[in-house]
Amino acid sequence: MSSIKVVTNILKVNDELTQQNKKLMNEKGLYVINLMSSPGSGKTSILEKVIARLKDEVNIAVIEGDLYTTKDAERIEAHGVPVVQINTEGGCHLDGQMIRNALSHLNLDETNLLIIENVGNLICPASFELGEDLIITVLSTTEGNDKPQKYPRMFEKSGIIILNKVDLVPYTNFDKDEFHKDIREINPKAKVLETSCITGQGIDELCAWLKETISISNPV
Amino acid sequence: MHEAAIVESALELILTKAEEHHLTKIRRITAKVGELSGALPEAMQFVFQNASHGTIAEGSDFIIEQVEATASCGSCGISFPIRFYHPVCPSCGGLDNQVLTGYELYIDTMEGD
Ligand SMILES: Nc1nc2c(ncn2[C@@H]2O[C@H](COP(=O)(O)OP(=O)(O)OP(=O)(O)O)[C@@H](O)[C@H]2O)c(=O)[nH]1
Ligand SMILES: [Mg+2]
Ligand SMILES: [Zn+2]
Ligand SMILES: [Zn+2]
Repeated sequence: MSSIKVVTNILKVNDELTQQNKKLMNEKGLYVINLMSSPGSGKTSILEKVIARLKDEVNIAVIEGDLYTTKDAERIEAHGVPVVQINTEGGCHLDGQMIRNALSHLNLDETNLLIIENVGNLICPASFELGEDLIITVLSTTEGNDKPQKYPRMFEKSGIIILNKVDLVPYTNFDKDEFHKDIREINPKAKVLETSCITGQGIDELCAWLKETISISNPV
Repeated sequence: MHEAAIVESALELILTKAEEHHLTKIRRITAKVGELSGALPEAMQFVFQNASHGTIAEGSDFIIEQVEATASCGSCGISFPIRFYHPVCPSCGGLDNQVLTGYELYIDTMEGD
């Protein structure tokens, strides 16, 4: 009988692949955003708005994570930016191997900003780093203001937290004061922004933040 | 159910280690899983029983030790358990806290022949 001290992270394989991806993305001068939320919070809708505003100034490419369909990728493609679809076939998050495959389908030399829309899921995508420079987490007002408290990890790791569907606040019991208070406790450093893809509220501000962040990290 | 993905990675790691140490049968595995890791020990157990089927880890004791979530206060310096995911210092009410433990997700030891 032999005893072995292993002490190795279970997600080591993912970490190694992610480090390799990160190295490649850095070399190519990409700024990488991991966009996460529960299903249906408005990730693709926000992405469409951002692409429409920024695509003439920034070379954007998108990786779309989805369980089975190509619906979101088709919505992005309609805006004329390169998009790669990853179907996880039931898998509830994207990982380093999937990103590696997706990267091989993109022309990285012609891209400045890579946005990865993760699988709609508020829990485990937060545990799988993808080599991103920025995590944006979206919460929508129809989900209830208690979600950051109940699922803190994603909010904790985010650089930007978006409260979307604020146009629907009058029809919900969403308590914005509670939401902002909880976010300050969980992640005091995050930028918090209220948006609506219906009225367009907050989208200009989001685009301005993104442009600023990208130019700071990637001076021309 | 991402415990499936986690346990698959764990099993890959275990079998690789076993091969390095020329084990032909794994008897016991211990893992540390933090309260904030997002992985549920019961679900991991369940997946492990299925996933290890037909490997040299089949029938081994898969022991998961849960690690309590703790943080240290940036203002007064004490360490405290995180209750209900809220890292608020119980002593001074400070919010500027560093999570110390709770995100563990690793294989600690294994035994075999
Ligand atoms: N009222 C309102 N509806 C919105 C807003 N943003 C998105 N929606 C709607 O919400 C639904 C889901 O939006 P998506 O953009 O597909 O959400 P998603 O997060 O990409 O969804 P998954 O990729 O399936 O997880 C769609 O019907 C959108 O039209 C908003 O600000 N206000
Ligand atoms: Mg989508
Ligand atoms: Zn998952
Ligand atoms: Zn304190």
